[in-house]
Amino acid sequence: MAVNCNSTKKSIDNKNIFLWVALIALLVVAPFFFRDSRRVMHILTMCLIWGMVAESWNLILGYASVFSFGQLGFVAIGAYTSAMLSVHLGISPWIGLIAAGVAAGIVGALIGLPCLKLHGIYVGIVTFGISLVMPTLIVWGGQPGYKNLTGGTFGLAGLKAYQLFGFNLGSVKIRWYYTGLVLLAIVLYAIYKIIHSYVGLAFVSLRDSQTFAKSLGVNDYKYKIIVFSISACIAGIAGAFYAHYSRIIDPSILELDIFLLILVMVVLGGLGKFGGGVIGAFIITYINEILRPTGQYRYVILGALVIIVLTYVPSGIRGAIDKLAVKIKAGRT
Amino acid sequence: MGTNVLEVRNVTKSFGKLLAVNRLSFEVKKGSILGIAGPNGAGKTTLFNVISGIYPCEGSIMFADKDISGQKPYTISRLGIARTFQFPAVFSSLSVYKNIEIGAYYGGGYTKADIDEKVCSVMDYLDIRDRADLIIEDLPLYDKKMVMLGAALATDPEIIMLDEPLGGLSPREIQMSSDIFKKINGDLGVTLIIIEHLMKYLIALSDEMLILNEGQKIYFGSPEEVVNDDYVIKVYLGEDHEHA
Amino acid sequence: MSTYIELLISGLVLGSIYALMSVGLTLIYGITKVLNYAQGSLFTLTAYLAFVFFSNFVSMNYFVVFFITLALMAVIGFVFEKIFIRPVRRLPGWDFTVIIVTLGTALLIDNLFLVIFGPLQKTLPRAFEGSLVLGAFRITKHNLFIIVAALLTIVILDRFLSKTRVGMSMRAVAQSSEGARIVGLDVDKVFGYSFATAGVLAGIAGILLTPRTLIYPLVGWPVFQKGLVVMVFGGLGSIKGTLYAAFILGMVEIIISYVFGARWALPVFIIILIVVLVFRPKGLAGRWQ
Repeated sequence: MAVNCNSTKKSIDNKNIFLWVALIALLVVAPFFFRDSRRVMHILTMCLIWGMVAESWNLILGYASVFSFGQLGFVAIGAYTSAMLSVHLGISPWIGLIAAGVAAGIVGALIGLPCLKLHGIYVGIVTFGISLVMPTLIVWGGQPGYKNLTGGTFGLAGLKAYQLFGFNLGSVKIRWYYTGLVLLAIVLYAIYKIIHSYVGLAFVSLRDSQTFAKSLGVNDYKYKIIVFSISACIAGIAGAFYAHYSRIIDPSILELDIFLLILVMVVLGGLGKFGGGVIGAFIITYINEILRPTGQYRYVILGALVIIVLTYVPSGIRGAIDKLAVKIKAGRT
Repeated sequence: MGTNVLEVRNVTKSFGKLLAVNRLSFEVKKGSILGIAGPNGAGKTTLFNVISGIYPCEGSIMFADKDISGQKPYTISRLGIARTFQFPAVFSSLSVYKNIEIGAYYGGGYTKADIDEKVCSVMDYLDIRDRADLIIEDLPLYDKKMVMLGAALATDPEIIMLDEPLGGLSPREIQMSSDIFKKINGDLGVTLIIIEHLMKYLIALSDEMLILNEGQKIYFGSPEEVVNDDYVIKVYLGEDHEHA
Repeated sequence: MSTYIELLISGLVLGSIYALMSVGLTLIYGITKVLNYAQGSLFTLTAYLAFVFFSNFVSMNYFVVFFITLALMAVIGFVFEKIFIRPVRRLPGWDFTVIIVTLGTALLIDNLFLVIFGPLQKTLPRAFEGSLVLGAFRITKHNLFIIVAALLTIVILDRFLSKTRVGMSMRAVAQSSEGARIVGLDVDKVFGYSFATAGVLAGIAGILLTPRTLIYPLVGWPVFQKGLVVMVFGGLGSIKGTLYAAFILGMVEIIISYVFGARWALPVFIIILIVVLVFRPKGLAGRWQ
């Protein structure tokens, strides 16, 4: 019997490989142009952090087609896990980073067990509800009787910076930027691997034909829980990094504005398209910054943008790039 | 032959007031081919959906002496009952190889070490290996049906249920399909349950036949005698000419 | 004893508001399959509209303003569907996209309020001032008005859905939009009517509740959030289940607020919701489709 008759294991995403190399190169050299501007470096670093959150959300929302609206809850769990370990026990933020991922992943699995048995829209409302409830829990955990575990409304401040090769990341923006970039690269690589593993294949099969997939032995519930948990884990890691970068974490991370902003990143970038969340994060963070002078009109404009983009470019920017690539290819031959 | 591989006992499935399957009982012998026919809306596909766990039902379905009614579709698949669908329900964005791989991995339990060998052998068996890397969406109907069968076969089933596998095919393709079904049944010993409108071919394939009408059994027995059964002729064969 | 009666009345008042909010949500979902995240913004919009009328036409009768505002909300609901929902419905995977579009709309509308009216709270007059004293307990006339108006609204809605042509066409589309299309109903228009009806329901809730809470740009959100829980608890698309759920959760909220404090209401809601969904995945009276 001949073995390995499968000659093309290459994925469709590979055709955009040059695009990815170019983007990564751009991100690596970007600080050389902006290194003197703390503000620009800050914005770029935030792009990386929101990029991680948006891409983790994209994994569950876009690939697994699970209406999960609780992603910021996992960001908060990760952020608070690392912050509490650091403030109360003096544990290294690197260990905090891992603990954050583990904690968010476990909570994700526990929430997923009852939630993912439900039908689509129910999952959305329950997960949304859970993230709405979290500020109450955090404020409650800040009561004096609990040794001010969470810092209550004021949050936990003075979080330590990461140590790397004897360097302290401190307040040197460029060091944070590169650390964030490496973290984002690792996250993207992990997501890429998941999408192209049997977990990812299960979702493609469920998306293409749910009944046939199930009749071939695909256990959708199991794979949904796995991806829900992994997505939560990544969001938790991003949350921990965010907390130590900001040096403070408070319940405002769970506010509706941020929820919407990141959701817009995912959708605008391209739901279910690899890297869509990251592209969306850069664009929305940038737009958000240039709209800052418009004051209160900022969110009015952002809201209008969401409606227009979704109505007229529904596959997102990442989808538009794909189409453009196809056109260029067709033009060549 | 002799022992039963599947026993359907008093199975009822209703949608609101409509009884799609009504107190139906029958047995399938191990290693045989059972042909199922009946007019549109007789409950044939519903029966498949009930057996494969897509719908819950009343009554019991015994597979290898275990009641499998109420089990989830993926559990039933892993126990050894595979199926195909009337309308090609393939994974259209994936290649032929990937489609069959899905059956081998999730239903067949093959691991990275031996999955490639399994997928290749299935493709060879069905003579579709030259199309391994093509995306299903663009392939003709016959190929889609073969891929569906291949994915089912890759789960190493004891029973395969085929829902109108010959519909829409050319006479030559029907002959090729029939030969493959016989081969799967004869060489691999897989029990086949086939729903088909094309009575001529179904009679030629089947060891036994079940005719349904309005969710109930109106005939069960040898395929030779089905054409002599007055009632069957009245409700079903009378309109066969339209299908042929 | 009188404390308990007053708690009971508070629960009924809250249940009435939740009923109006969540029946609007469930009506939209049942008929158009849209989860409308902008329903809270419609609530807020009504409050600001009424505020504008009251502050510009001081002498105008309360009920004249009440009905003019609601008529406007019906038009706004209809136009809302036409502008924001209809273009998205043509797209593949619209059932998800449309949720984000309604979220975007909420973001747009809420921040428009902030731009136009500023963050300061506005006040709305009550229908009736003063309270009634019945033996040992008292009820403010406005609270009584809330309960009566809500119940009346539900009765009228029920009549509307079962007796009028428009109402029956809405029910037909809820059963099967494909079937309704085949028998020649203009489904697009029916979708518009559903949003108009839901706009009026959110509007009634808005005018009734905001005299108690004051008006600010995000005043609709907490009500919407709880309305969402009520809707799922009752069973998506089931008006009857939603009504039960609204009054049950209204009572629960009052009891929780009395015993533990108001901020625990939503956490308890969510816990109840999850427990109910584990045992009844479709809510109290839900159907799958």
